[in-house]
Amino acid sequence: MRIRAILLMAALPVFAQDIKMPASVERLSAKAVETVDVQLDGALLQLAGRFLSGHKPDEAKVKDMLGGLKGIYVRSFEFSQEGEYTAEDLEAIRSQLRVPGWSKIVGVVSKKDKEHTEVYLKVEGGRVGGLVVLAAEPKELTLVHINGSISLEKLSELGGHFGVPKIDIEKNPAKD
Amino acid sequence: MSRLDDALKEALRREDPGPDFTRAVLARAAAERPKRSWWSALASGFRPPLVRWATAGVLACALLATGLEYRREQHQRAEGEAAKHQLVLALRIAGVKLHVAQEKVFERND
Repeated sequence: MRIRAILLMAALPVFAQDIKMPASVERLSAKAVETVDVQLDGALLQLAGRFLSGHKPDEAKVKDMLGGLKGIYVRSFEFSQEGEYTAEDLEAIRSQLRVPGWSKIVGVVSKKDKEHTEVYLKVEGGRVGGLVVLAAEPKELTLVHINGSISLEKLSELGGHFGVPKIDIEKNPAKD
Repeated sequence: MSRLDDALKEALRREDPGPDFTRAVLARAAAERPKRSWWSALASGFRPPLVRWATAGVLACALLATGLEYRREQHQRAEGEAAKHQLVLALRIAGVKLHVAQEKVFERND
């Protein structure tokens, strides 16, 4: 019993750091007509960084941003019809973000469009240590998890490059 | 007959070559020795069979190592390019979703 408690305590920080797609959500890939699965851990990010040119302005910006990142994970499902995922599926993801350090900075619910968009930030020692975007649309479910020290300014600078729309952080009037 | 004998004896008479003969022969032999190029001198060092086999082995190993290194680099390059492609895709999706969130916040505030 004591051993089990110690193992559980040892596992907690790992759980607190990693945001994972719950198994129930992972099973949605069978229903999806299109899925995106990007799993880039620290080593792969470093490898990708070696193939980014420091001379091309757009690639240099990405290379500069990779420095403090530990991983980038994207899971996206696109369905042919509505109602393929449930509120419980979303809740299983949200529950992982209800741990110390994480806070929701944007939460938009559009009943008209049946859309939920939530942005979570992890703050460590006054610095952003992670970012999660959960976007639930009628026929699409997307989870983006950027793990590590990320500069929102640098992320916004990517707007206009690689097909990323321009994001204006300065004008962002985000409210709780 | 005796004249013929005498002529033969005279012709085949042992004659002393003189004290300089040996020196002259040796000097001429040294002068006529063919000069070996540096390449032939180097190659001659590899003539013993063991050295030849060892050289062939080293060359084969070097070729193999070069081939393996080239293949490893090609593999790593392919992995790196795939990782770069995934990174760009991830940033694009993240950017699009953040943009959507921002637009919705702006809509609410207008």
